[in-house]
Amino acid sequence: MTAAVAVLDRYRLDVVDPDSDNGKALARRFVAGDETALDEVVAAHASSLHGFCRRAAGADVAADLVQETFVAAWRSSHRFDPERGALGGWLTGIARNKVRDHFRSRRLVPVDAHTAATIADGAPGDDIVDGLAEQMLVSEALAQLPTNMRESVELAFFTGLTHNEIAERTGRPLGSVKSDIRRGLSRLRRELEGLDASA
Amino acid sequence: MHPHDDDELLLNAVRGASMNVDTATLDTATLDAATLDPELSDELRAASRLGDIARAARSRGLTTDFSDEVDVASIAASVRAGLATSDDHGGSAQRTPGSAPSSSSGSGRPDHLAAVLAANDSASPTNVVPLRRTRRWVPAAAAAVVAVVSLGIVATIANRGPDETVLALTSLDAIGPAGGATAELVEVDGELTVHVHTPGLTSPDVTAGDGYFEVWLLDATASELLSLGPAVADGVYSLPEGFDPATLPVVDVSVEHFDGDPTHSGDSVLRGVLDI
Repeated sequence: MTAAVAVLDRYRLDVVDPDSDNGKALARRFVAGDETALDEVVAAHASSLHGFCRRAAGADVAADLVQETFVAAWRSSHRFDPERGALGGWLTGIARNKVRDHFRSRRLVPVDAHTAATIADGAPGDDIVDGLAEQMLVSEALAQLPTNMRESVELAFFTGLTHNEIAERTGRPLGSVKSDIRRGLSRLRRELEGLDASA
Repeated sequence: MHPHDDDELLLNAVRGASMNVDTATLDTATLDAATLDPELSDELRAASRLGDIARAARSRGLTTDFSDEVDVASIAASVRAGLATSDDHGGSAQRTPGSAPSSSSGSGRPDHLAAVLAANDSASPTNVVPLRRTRRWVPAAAAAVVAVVSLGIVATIANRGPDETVLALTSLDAIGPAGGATAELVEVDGELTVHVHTPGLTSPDVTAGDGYFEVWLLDATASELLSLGPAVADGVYSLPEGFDPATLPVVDVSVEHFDGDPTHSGDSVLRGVLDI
């Protein structure tokens, strides 16, 4: 059933991916103001949001920024459309905004030692925070993919192997590898769209 | 592989120029595909972006274990607390009219005072505003917002002699750390006086001998003033003959300096409104 749908509609965004339906259902309940959904969303995303906030702004303010992110998300949930992006991405975007505000309010500019960014005019720190938000979001979403799907997508990202070589490496059918890469990228794209929606 | 196979295009896009890809073939194929199917070109663009992000994340070590160990329950509790206690915008609407914070608690913090001002704007029949520049006096430094805290009318009237009639009474609320002061408009033998009681009123400048307390009557907008003179021990101040106290119902006590300037310093320490 899934394969048939994929073959016919594979480049359409409205293909229903049954694996991500649970995420959408939770997002819909969250937007509808279901308070149990709030608890579930906190449980599902607190770890990764804390990881982002800590890396971006430091351990001493991470907990506050995480709390502010969830409070702001709940209050502005009417602005989130589960059909247009993933909730995790949207939450990451709110956290990114909170981190940016945090730096602005203290007139600090975050320096990313790893990329050795030079400080110039016009809040370059925002680029660093944005980059970190995107990277953590994609990394987290990648880690959440089902194992087979994740393997294929990782080999697509980080190696130059052809589809056939990936199929050989993972021991899986060629058709499954191609489908996993498409669907995996589609899920990651939804997260990015959620992030972009909270800009 | 057919060069225009969509899966091949996708795989190439994910890898972008940083990987071992025949960019000439990719560009041509991508352009052709974009002409044929805009959704496909969107997908290829997104795939390229995702690839760049994933590789950037990997190069900075964000692969696994980037999520922190957190106490989900305590975060959930803090979120609920944050949702429950935050004010709606326009907090003055939530204050009970007539409620007043303790006059001894004036800490001088601007946000506290601003909130009280907002509350009292809706509560008080006579709004007392900060002293402004008029032709009669010039305030010493920009006194900023001088907060007026409540206008309680003391309920019980002290026992008076047969010739004394208390016409109006107010508690003077502190603008700053003092508290517990009162003012009364008293008629004695047909003569009007203002009695001001200021137990425990101190000021660093006064204590140091650099200043003194002065008593004033103001109008509701604090633009008309009448000085009742420096504070005296018995706290009794005569009003000019023929003067109608209803025109200046606000009693104000300020700290003044020996500068030869008769105008109000702008530095009020007590204020209250007589309900005349």
